[in-house]
Amino acid sequence: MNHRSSEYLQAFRKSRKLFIGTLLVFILVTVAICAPLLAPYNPYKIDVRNRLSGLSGSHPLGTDHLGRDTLSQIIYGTRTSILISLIGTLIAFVIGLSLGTTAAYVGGVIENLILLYFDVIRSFPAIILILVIVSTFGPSITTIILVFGFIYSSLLGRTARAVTLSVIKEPFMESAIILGSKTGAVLTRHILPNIIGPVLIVTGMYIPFMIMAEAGLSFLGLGVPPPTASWGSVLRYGFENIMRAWWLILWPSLALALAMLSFNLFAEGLRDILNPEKRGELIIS
Amino acid sequence: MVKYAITRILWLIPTLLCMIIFLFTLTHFAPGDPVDVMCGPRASEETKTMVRELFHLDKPIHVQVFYFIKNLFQGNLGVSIADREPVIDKVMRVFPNTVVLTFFSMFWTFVLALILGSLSGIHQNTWIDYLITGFSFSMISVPSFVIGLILLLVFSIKIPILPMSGSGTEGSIWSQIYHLILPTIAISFAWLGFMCRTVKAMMIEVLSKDYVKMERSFGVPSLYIWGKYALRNAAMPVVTQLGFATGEFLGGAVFIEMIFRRPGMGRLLADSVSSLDYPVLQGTVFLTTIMFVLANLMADLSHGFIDPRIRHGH
Repeated sequence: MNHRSSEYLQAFRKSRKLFIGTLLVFILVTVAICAPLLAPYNPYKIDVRNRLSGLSGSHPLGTDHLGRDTLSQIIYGTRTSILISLIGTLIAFVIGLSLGTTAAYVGGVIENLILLYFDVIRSFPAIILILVIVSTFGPSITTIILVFGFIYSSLLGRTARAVTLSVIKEPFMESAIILGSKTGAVLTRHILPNIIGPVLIVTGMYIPFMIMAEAGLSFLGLGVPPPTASWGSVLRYGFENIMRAWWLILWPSLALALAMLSFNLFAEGLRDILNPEKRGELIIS
Repeated sequence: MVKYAITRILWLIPTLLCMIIFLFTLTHFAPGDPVDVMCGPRASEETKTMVRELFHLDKPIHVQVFYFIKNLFQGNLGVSIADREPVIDKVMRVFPNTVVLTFFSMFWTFVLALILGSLSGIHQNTWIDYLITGFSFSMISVPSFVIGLILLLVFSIKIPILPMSGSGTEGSIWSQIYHLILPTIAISFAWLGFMCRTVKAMMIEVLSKDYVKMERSFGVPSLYIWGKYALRNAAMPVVTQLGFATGEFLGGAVFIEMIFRRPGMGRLLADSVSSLDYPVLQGTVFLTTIMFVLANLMADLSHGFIDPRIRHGH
């Protein structure tokens, strides 16, 4: 066994949260990738004779108002949810990190402009801004991913800036600059390794928020356009047929809670490992 | 502290100005011509030109933004495209409902977080602590609209003891409280988890302080210590956190008002989004945002006023 993998094993031994979280995230991603193999039916196949049929041998989790199999919809919904939240997070991470570091490193007018941008975005309640932008540009997977990346980058950017500012004050930075390191080298060799941990922790905490926001948008009918399966859309069918179909509310709720729980455990486990003295505290306050 | 407060407030001016410009530009590029909607399909070109001039829609966008801001200062948020009712009237009719819902939810989050968080901090590593910690962690992973839907399903449909929809009969306090129960639980539970953990962490920290140990050795009753030192110290970060989370509560209200069919800002917003009624959309988003920004400001400043260490710049 090489050195690296034994390090991971150690991390898992130190944090049970990280172990369970990683395991659950792994399962979720597998379900998302292997959706066509796992789903018993085509999630888009309409079967009007079996509409709103309860739990049965052929449809273990019931069917919706068009007779589509709920289990298959939930399995394909994992795809939508994981795809949107992971790519959204990646975009937010890249933009947030670059803007935050630039603000802290360059300073002056540019820093103030970037801060103003962060503050303007942050002055809206996140979900409301997401609603407005998505409705303006029309709901599509691309719009939703871009909007998530754009909004959460301003939240991440503040963290990136704050952490960079504290690293810049360290004596080793001063010596690196005096010794004539180029800006690029300073950024990649000295700043980045020191800020990546804290920024990653906060990034991890935003994944559950994106999963929630995607489901919320689809619940309002502003998420991924139909017929793409999404947990939020199934919830909406459940809400519209609440008198007759409890299963359309229960299953997507469980899927949603499980996904958010997995990423929460993962992010907190990551935090416990990277920043042991903060164990048990809140990341986002 | 005073210097900090002044900078903080001055910084709000460019932020809000950019916020308004951003909001206006965004909705300006939305699909659909508002004039077509307002005048109907059979209106003549002349009527359209007149309406366009009336609402300054013929001017370039920076002039329109200027008129928009000027009108804002006069308390004029424009008229709804759908029924030409002034937006301000529309909003003010439902505004109190949302404020009541948000306030109640925050209040109960505060009270329950203090109780549950203290219990788990005092009885650390007992079954009470594990139960509460487990509860908080699972609540962090459940969005408010899911809690709302499940509550609606269980307590209004399967066991019909609480009302499904509406905000209660006007004038009857009891009916209104009765209608508030489920929506309030839905919004507050989603945030209770976060706050519980803050209180617990504070509680553990304070109870391990030397002065608390000394009081204890003098035989001061633990309930007194708990109330005088621990609770006070734990309440402060919760107030601040609640202030910062106002946006999340207001966002949660959008979903909860839809699920429980309560008239409110969130419902108005969701409706205007789906009917593309941009003036109403701008108006509701603007007011909600202002509420959020002010709550944030208060949380930020109260932080300093409650804690003398911050006030004196330590």
